[in-house]
Amino acid sequence: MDRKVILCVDDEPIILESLREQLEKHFGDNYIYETAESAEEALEILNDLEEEGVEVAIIVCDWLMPGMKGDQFLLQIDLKYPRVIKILLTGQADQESVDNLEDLADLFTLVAKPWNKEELITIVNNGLRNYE
Amino acid sequence: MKFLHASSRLLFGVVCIFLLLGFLLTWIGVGRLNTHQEASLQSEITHISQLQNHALKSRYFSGWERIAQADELEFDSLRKAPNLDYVIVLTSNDAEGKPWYTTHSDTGLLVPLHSALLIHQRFQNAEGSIWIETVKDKPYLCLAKQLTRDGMQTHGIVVFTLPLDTFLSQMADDSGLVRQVALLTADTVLYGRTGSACLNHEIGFASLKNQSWGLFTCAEKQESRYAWSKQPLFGSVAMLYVQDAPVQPSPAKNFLLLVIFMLAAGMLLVPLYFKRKYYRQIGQISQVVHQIRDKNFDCTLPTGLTDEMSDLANAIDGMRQNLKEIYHDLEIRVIRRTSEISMRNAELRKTHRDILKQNTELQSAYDALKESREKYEKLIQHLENEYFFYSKALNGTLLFVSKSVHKILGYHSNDYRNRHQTLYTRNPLNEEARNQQSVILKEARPVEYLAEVTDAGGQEKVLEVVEVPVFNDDHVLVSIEGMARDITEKQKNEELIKEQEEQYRMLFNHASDFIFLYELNTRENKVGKFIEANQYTLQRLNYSMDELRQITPLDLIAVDIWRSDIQNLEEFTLSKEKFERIWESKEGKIINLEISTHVFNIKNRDVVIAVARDITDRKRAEEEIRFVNEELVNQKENLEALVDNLTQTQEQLVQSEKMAALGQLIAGIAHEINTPLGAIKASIGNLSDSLDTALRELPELTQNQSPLDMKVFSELFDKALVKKPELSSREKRQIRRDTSQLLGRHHIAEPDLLADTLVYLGIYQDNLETLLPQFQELDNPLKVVRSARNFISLMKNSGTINVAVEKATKVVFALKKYAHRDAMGEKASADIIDGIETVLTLYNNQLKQGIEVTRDYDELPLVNCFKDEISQVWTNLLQNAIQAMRLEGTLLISAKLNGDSVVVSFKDSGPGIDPEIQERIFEPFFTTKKAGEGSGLGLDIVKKIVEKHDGSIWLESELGKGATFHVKIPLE
Repeated sequence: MDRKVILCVDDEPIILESLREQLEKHFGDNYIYETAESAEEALEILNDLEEEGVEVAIIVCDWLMPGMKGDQFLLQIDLKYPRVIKILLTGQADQESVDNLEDLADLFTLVAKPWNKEELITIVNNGLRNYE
Repeated sequence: MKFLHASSRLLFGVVCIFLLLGFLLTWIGVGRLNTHQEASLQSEITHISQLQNHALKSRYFSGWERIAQADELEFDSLRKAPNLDYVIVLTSNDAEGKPWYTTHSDTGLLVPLHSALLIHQRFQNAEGSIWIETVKDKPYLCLAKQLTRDGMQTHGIVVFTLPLDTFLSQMADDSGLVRQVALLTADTVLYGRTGSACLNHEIGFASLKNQSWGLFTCAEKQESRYAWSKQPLFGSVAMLYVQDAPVQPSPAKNFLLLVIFMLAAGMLLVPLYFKRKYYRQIGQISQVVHQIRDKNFDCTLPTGLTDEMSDLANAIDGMRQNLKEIYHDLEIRVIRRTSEISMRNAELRKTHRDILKQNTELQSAYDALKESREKYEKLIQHLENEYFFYSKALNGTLLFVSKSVHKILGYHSNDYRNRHQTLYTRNPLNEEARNQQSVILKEARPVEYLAEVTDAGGQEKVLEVVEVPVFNDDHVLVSIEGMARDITEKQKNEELIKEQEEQYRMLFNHASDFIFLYELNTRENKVGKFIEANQYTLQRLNYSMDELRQITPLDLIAVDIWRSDIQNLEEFTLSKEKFERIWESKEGKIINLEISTHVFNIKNRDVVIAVARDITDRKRAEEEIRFVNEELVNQKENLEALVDNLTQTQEQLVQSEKMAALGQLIAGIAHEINTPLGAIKASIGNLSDSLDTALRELPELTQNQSPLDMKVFSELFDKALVKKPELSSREKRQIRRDTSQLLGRHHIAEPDLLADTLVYLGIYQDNLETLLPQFQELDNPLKVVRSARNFISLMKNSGTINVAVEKATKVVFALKKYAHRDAMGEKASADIIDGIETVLTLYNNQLKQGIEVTRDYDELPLVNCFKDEISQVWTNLLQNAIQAMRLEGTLLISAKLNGDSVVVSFKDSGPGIDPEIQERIFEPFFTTKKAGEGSGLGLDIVKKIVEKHDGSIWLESELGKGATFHVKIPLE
């Protein structure tokens, strides 16, 4: 079976767990679900998956994390895996930051915390459709 | 005659005594002289020796071999020669220091008269010595001298041996004085030259001189006893002794001297002798004479007098007896005469009384006369100090001139009388004088005129003359009486006054101040018209003097709205101080004046003299200064307003700084709240989904399950419910992979999916081992495991929600604490650490991005403070630290109890603060952040808050080593 991976990145385990379960419940066994607590860990996972020959279809990433920030991380991913669907979750209400991020809206989709499940699923589905 | 005899006897005796004394003294003196000469000669020789020793030091000896050995025999024969008077030996030391001798023939030394060689003593040293030797019972002066010549091995020792007395007598010339002695040095010895030393002064002089030997003569210096010198030409020494002839007493000369001396002594002693002899007798006779003088004619003469004295005494006694008789006769005549006189006296006294009586009467008459006469005399005297009087005949000749003319013009009256016509000067004044003189003759009335005459001293004098006609009984003019006085000085003074007045007028007119006079009616206190004004006044006011005299000073006053006329009037009449006035010139020009006035009285009129100065320029300057001053006051007010504005602005800035901090805080907090909210929302969705599924699957689970399924299910359930350690995503992934492989190894279907779910349920490793055989038996283990998962999901999501809610609650609580405002704005007890922690909670989202916070807290008592303000301190310090570290690094927060204070320190690992700006960072508006990022008020506010708590804040920082802010707050 040639399942693709959905990767969730967030420094908060509660977010990570609930997000993963949410996605898993919706997409079921069609995907492999991986989680990482930092951008650095995510890059590791991506490396491993690449070696295993497993494709990553979706990355859902928190913005504000210790170490590398979500936007930076996604920018890197964009360079390496332009096709991956990139979704940035942000709990930051700072308008300036949001404005900055919107400049990058072409690269990835911005979803505010607390997010709406349907919205997230729709975005992912759209992305997946584009992806395939 | 007896007297003379006695004195010659005495003189003879005295002379004899002195003669004897003179001889004695001369004898002793000569003896002493000789002894003394010897001693001094000896000392001089020693002196010479020393000097020569000194001169000859450091010379050396050589070449002695060339010198022939001495012929001792010849020496001896010489020595033994008879009649030896003196010897001169030239000798020297050989190289071994032995003395070397030479004969006179070797040296070429000529020894005149009787000569011999004396070998007496071997020299002990090279420098020579001196001694006295006796040859044939005569003392010899021996000098041993070393003589040298540089570079020519000329050395030697000269020994001179001279019998002193012989020497002296031999060397004496005809006059008995020793003139010269020449001595030869070793030079001759060495070369055996023919040059010789000779004691015969004539020969010796010539020959020595030719060979450049020193020859010294003292012929002219008879007083010298000897002399020596060094001959510098060859570095050798020549010595010359000149000895004065011994001083022999000359009997003839001495006798003459003695006679003179004794005559002098006799002249001194003879009067003494006479005085002593006759003094007593004269005293006795003198006593008698004194008694006779005192009218004691009965005294007796002394006895035992010498012949001469008794002659004198007898004569005095005769005189005494004569005087006694004369005195007696005189006494009788005096008594007689006295009685006659007393009778005559009585008569005279009577006459005297009569005369006195008459005299008194006469005296009173005389007094009256004298008094009236004195009066007139005084008057005349007084007048004559200034006037002289004269009488003049009609033809002009003076009949009489008072003596006082001398006082006034310096002429004697007669002189003046004769010359007066010629004394008139050519002054035109005198024409009028002559005119007047003719008038009195014609009209016979008194005249007065001035005339100028030359006085005795040649000075011109102006006379004021009054002439009065004198008439006889028939009223015919007979003569003229005149009176004149000198008014030259008076006239001069008048001229001087005129001149001074002219000067004052000049001053008045040329002064560059207004000077003017005006009338003053004191009684009515009114200012009158101008009387006078100087040129300057007229010129400036552009009025003529005539015009000005028509007006008063008040008329000139320009319209001045500030003063009333009354004041003007008062000042012009009464003011004693300077006052200012504005005048208007004729053409309307405004002149500011400063006027001073002085009132005085001239001929019963009150007149004011005023001096006024133009102060228009000064006034203008004052105006300008006033204007500038007002400007300055305005500017000052503007500045004050500006400062007020700035203060307001600063307050606004402080407020906006607070708001900015709050905004940042809120942004962070939003994230802190949104994160758990996101988790909650997702978890609730999951819960609901899981519940749906579980409910849907429930019937199937209960009905269609095999007993094994049920067993595994319940076992899974039990294991999942056991609390397990939290795993990181990395660990989970690893476990999942391991589990998947494990399942694969056991040939269980769908190992990946199964492993996923098992790890979700927390069943792996040991827990899983027991289930593996059952999984192998089951048809579809995945289905069983997933059924369990739905239920566990309910539980897990609930747990997630719980955690999330706790997180959110914590943040909200911190926010609530942070935002808490002190109800009364008063201090309250607060936990410092709690405050710090609250702030840390609020900034958690920033800190967690890369800042490791270490805490080092003491147990602290509660501190009395403004809690919210203190919180702001921590907030600012934390923000600064986070910004300085750019969200990465370590932050050490310590809170320590230090005596009565708490010291809280925030130590960051940022870049540190440049020492140059350390002092400024607490200044308001000082910021290192980019424009718009910070107001620069943060630390200023912090400092103010800390100071409000009587605390202090300070900074420790080093570039590259981070910064530490310390805040010290007293407990109370």
